[in-house]
Amino acid sequence: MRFVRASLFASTGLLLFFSGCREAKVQSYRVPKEAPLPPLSFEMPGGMAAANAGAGPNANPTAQPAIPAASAADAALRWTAPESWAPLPPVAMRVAGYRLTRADDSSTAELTITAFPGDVGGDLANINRWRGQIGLNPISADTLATELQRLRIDGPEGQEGERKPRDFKLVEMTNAQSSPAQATLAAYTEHDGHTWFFKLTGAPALISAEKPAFLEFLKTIQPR
Amino acid sequence: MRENWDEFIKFFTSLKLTVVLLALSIVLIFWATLAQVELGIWGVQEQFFKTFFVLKKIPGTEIPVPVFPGGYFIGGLLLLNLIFSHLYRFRFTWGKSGIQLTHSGLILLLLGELFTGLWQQDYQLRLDEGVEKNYSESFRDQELAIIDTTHPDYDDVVILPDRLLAKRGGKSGRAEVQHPKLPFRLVVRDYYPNAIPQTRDQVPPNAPSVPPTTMGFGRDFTVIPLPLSYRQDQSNLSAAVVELIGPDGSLGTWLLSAHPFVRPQPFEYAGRSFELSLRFARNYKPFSLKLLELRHDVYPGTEIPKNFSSRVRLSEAGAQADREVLIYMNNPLRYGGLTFYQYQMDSASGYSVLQVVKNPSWMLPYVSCILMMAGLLIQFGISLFGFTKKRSLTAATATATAAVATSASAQPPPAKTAKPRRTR
Repeated sequence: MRFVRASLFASTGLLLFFSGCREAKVQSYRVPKEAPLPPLSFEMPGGMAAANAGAGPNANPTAQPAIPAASAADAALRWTAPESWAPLPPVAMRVAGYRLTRADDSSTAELTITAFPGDVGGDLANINRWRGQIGLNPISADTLATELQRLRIDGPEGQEGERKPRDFKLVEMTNAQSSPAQATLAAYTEHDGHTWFFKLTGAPALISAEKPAFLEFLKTIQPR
Repeated sequence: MRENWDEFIKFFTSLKLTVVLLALSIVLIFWATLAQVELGIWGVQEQFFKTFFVLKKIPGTEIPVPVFPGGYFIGGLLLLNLIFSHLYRFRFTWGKSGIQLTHSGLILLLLGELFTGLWQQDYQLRLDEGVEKNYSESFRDQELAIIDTTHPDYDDVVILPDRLLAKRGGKSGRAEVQHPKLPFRLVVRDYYPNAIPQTRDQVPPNAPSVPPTTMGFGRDFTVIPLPLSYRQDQSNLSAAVVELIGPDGSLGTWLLSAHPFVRPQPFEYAGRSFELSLRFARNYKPFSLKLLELRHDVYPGTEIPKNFSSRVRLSEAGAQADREVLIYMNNPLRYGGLTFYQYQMDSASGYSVLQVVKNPSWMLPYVSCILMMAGLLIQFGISLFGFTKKRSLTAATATATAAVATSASAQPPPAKTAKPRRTR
């Protein structure tokens, strides 16, 4: 009798189970043409353009994105940038960006803030990637220790007056031989399973002048 | 056979089953409440309640196994239990009519929840000021659209839902689609339910990214797969690598992403113009809405919101509908079986987002609550009426007894004392 009861129970369960299944199907329909979307800005570091930028009759490289992509507003970390750093318009794939300009010679630098899951390849690979971007040769693992500085920075004061320290790795590199000369000052830290990169690239004199402000900026970084 | 049927009825009318199901539902709700910390409200609804079984993967594998009955299973059996009990245990009497009505309301409430789970559709409609739209977009579901843009007046669209993209099968290990409207075959090479696009030169070495595709966006960009997010305020943005294959061979591979940054990727084939895009699933409507004005009012001297409202023009050619509607908090627009609620707004950027809800069973909870309320009122009314009737009867009897006793005491005692009438 128990077998019969179990069978009835199971069959009812299966009936309910299969009655709830909905199959995904390919569909087709015809719609009137909609107004073309405003094109996006494809301003990317290094002047790279998107594959479909400029394609089509309505391309306008100066237009802003309709929807900011990875925006600082919903990032897991927040910070306070110096007022002299001009926020760059929202560009997809990057959490935030700032343009730094030197008044006397109009030289510029750009700070980009990005986040990637995991440790994204480790210190040596990241440093060599940045070296490659400004035309420097890669370094070996033996010289890594001299290139990489470790910083422990107290974060901003919390609600109860406490300051939570955050560990950063800091690298500086300059290629005076390139035309124009280029320098990179980058710091990165781990937060919530992601590696956050704060990379300042531009004219060496400007990077050098802005280094204290950059270090102060790192102190303002805190979880949202 | 008769014996089996009796056993079946006995099982489904059992009060033990009710108690077990209620206990299971308590455990399910408690577990889901704890899981909500990690999964968020959508994840919990999908994995615990809108399912027949709570599935967990065997550690180290991708094989899901049922570990606990889900909301549909427990709710479905409770519903059957209640219906069978009504049919076989309860007998209709006027004295119990309130209980019957209350239980009918409960049955309707359970059915309403089931229908809502099965049929309700939630979409969002983002309207920029001055822009007219005739479709809303899903909050979570995405779709691959192959759009034939050749004709100057209309587009022919072929849609593959994301569930189909995620499905495994076919020679490539993923879905393969040959649609009569398309002169080529589409093969899904890879699918990532959540991934962020990134320029190739910005991708750190050893990061898990997708190799270059031969066409479009994927030549210079890649995507980095991310774990699925169950947070209510975050969307998973899917990505896919697809290959189009014509009669003469491959037309190339494309990287598609649902990220709003990635626009439809155009290409030409066989004298026709096409676009490929991965986007939030669209739901087209026979009417359109145009945002005329949005207002975000605050109380004077403060930043405290006082009012969010969107003034829209509703137009439907066939139905001759052309009117202005003001949508604000607690004042949604109901039209065409849909309800448009004011959902989000960014007055600085000049856009408003409406939540579009389609729920054919939206009236059922109201009706069931009215039924339950009426049932309880009737049942309590019957009890109260019976009680007051008895009480007045008792009082009348007591008065009569007292009168008899008074008159009896005024007269000389009879030879034999009359026995008073016993009252209940």
